[in-house]
Amino acid sequence: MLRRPSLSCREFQHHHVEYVDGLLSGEVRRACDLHLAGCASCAARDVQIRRALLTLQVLPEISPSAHFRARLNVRLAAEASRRALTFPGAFHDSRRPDARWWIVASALAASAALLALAPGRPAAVSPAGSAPVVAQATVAPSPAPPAALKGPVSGARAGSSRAAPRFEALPGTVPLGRAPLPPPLSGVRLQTVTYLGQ
Amino acid sequence: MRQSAVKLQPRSPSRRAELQALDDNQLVTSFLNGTTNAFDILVDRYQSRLLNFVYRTVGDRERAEDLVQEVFIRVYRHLARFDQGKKFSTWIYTIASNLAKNELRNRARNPLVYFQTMTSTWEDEDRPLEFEDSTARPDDAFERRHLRELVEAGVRRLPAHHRQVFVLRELEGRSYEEIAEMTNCNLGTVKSRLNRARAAFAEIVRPAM
Repeated sequence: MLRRPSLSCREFQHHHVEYVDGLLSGEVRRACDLHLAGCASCAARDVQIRRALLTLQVLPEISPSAHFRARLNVRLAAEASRRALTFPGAFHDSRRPDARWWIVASALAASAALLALAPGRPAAVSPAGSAPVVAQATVAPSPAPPAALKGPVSGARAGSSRAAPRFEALPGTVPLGRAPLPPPLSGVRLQTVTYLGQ
Repeated sequence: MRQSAVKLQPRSPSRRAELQALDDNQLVTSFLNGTTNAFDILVDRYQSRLLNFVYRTVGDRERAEDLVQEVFIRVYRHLARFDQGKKFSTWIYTIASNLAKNELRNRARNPLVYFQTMTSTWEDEDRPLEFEDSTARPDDAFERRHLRELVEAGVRRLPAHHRQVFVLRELEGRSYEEIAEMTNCNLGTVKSRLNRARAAFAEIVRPAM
């Protein structure tokens, strides 16, 4: 039976990442096995790398600090209110036409509560202990963002006299005009305001 | 194409459990349809994973938390533009990866500022291993801690672009393809960087083995 010639050291190194991860197909894997059996240098390197990777298991997993979620909720509430003011039609709630002051007040109150709760940097705790403490009191699921928003945003980009709000482009996103805006977060009610283009 | 989403009242524990049963993309759809707590579930799912990834990449616990917060803010801000034909986890790791990369780039430009920030806040546990401890005891716990410090220092000593790939693969378990997308590199570059990172890391921790 004919045997395929063994790989060179260079070829073996080229395949080594996938070899260690067990991702090589049968034929190439067998060629690597064969090379390893006959090359002391590559075998030593292979063992050294595998043992080194095992040491990574000693690294502990860290958890978010106790006030991570509270701080995040404050920031998200502020983001929601900022978006409400920038895209007034995005978070339509006809039940609260006079809620703009409430948004700002709730963000300020949440910030004050956080400051009172967190005088210093806390130690690590488990995620289970980091339940949100602000911006969770009231929940007002908003309706789906209106399709009407799509037009004005695109129009503003196309040359409207009102400057369109600018957001950074992120990988994996679709253009703004094709998708609705997200609803506000828990605890944030947002008001009805006529959109710029209307 | 958008998947059908379940619109749920968020306060009920059983319905929260129903939300938790949804996959990431279904949660995104639910959130965009007005189920506000769907975003909380996404945060629950990713906060620790992202924190570990960013911490291992930038090496500073407090800064890592700030960056992970920024990741969630950006996700919230851009969620409506997320292409739901793709994996949410890849997308959120891409954002985290970019922020970590920017952080490292900024540090490279202002190393003194970074050093002052680190030394003003670090505790004994955070100090990189710089010399052999003369008070060594033949104690398993001590040896384990010594090894942990060496391993942490080893990860930190990798060049930034190697470290990012190394952490994503070895500590986060991401596939080569995902890493290529997250780091905006081609597959060959990912494998090459991983190969070099593994070899360098093995060299660093060899004295402990």
